[in-house]
Amino acid sequence: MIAAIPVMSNDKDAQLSLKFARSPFFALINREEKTCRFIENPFAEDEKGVGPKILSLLCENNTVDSLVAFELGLKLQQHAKTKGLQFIILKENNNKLVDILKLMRLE
Amino acid sequence: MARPRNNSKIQIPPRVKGFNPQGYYAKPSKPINLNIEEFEVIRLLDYENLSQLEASKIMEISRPSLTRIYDRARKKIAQALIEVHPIRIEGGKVVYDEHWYQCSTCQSHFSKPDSDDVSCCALCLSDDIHKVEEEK
Repeated sequence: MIAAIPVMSNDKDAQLSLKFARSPFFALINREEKTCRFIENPFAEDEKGVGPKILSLLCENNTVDSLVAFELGLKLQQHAKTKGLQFIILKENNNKLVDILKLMRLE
Repeated sequence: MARPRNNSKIQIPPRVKGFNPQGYYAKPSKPINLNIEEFEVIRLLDYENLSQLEASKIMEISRPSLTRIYDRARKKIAQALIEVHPIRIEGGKVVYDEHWYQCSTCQSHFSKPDSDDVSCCALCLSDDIHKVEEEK
């Protein structure tokens, strides 16, 4: 399972981003291999149609199968459903990536 | 006899069960009950900026039904804000678009795209989870 988490910077102390598709970076967590790597979001500043572009970046290029977020935009959510992705909706909205890694027992 | 209204389809369960007033006048009072379908209508129309027709298609109810739910939701929120009542988000004639679960340990909600049984939380792996129930 590879989970994508939207983050504001590319380090483990990064604050989680409130907007999934507009997040500047994504942390990709591979639970089986217990690894965490970062990718930049090249579409963060695009005006329209960001959701589907992000999904092809995450799913087709990086084999992500679950999205972790506070809130997902409706269009992104609908596209993700057609791809059979799992959603994990967090309760607290002031977390850092390291808090999520601790919850996932990876830190 | 009027035809019973269809259950509203909900995309994601609300993250919280309600809101409490803050400050000097925030004394305990009778909560206002906002149905999950009323919460969803506010989310689609006022947060996602969809038209009423688009929102009614997503929720799989008629546009007039959606308008009535929206009117009710706005009146309830206005009453809670002005009369300083807590808001509780629960109930309503709803079905979820997918199977949703909540973890009692980390409090996160997670979906299960296929219909296989779920034994633990997708985030923290706790087995203290429960299915988010639909109400009919």
